[in-house]
Amino acid sequence: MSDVTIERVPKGRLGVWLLIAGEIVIFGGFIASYILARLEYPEFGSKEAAGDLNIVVGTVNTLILLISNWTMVKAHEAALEKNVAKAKSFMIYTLVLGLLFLGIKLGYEWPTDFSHGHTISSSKAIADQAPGSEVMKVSLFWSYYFLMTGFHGLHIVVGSLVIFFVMLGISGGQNLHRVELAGAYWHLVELVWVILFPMLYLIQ
Amino acid sequence: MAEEKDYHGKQNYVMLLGVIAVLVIAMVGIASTMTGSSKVLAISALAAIQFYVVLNNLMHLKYEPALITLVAYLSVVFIVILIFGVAPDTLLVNLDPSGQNGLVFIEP
Repeated sequence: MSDVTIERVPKGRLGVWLLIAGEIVIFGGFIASYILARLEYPEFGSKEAAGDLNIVVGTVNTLILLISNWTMVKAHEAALEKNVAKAKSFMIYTLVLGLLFLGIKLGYEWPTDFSHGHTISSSKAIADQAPGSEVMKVSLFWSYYFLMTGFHGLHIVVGSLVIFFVMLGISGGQNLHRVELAGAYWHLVELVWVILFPMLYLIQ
Repeated sequence: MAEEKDYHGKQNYVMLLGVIAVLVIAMVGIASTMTGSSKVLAISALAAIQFYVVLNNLMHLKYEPALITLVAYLSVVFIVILIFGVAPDTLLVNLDPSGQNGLVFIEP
C-alpha cells in the first residue's frame, strides 16, 4: 500500500476500482435514502410493512451468494497458478450460483411478493387513493425493496456476463489477470448484499 | 507488465467466508430474538464487520496501492456526508397529512 502515484497502478485495476467506487456511491444513495425514510417514518419498514418477506429464503440466498464468492476466489487462485482449466471450472460454478441466486429471487421471492399485492408502484396506487395515509408509508417499503433488490439483481446479470466473457478470453492462457478484475466486480455484489440483506430483511 | 503483478498475500479464504457465514446466521438469530434499538445496533455492527471483511479481504483492498484504497474509502465517505448532510432537512420537515398545506416545518 506504499505506491501512491497513478503511474504505478495498472490501468485495468484502477478502472475497475473507479467503477466499484461509483457503484458504491450509487447504492449508497439508495441506502441513505432508505435510512432517512425509516428515521422519518418509524412504521415504514416495520413488521407490518415488511412482514411478508421470507427471511429463510433470504438467508439461503445470502449463503448461495457467499459460496459464489468463494468459487470466484478459487478461480482467481487458479489463474495465479496459470491453471486455465481449473480457473474456468470455478468461474462456471460462480455463474451457476449467481444464476441460482437470481432464479430464487425472480422465480420465487418476487412472485410471492406480487401475490401478496406488493409491487414497486403499490405505494403510488395507495397514495392516489389516500394521500398521506399510514398505509402509503408502510407500502413505500416495497418500492425501496423492489428498486434495490432489482438493481442488485441487475448487477448480478452484468457480473455474470463479465465472468462469461473473461472466461472466453482466457482460453489460450492469455489475460489471466482479468479473472481477478472480474472477481473484484463480483465481490462488489456481495459487498452490497451484506448491507441490503440485514437492512431489508432483518431490521423490521 | 504491470497488469501481471500480484499484490496479494496468502489468505485463508475458507476461514474468511466461514466467519461471514457465521455472522449472517448470528444476524438472523439476533433479528428473531432481540427487539428495539439494541437489535438495530447489533445487526448494523455485524453488517459493518462483514462489509469491512469483504472489502479488505475478498476484494483485496488491503493489498492494493494507496491510490485505490483512497478511491474506495472516499466513496464510502461521500455516502456518510450525504446521510448527515441531508438528515437535518429530512428529519425536520414533515409532509402535511391533510395534503392541503404542503410541507410543514418542524421547529428544531
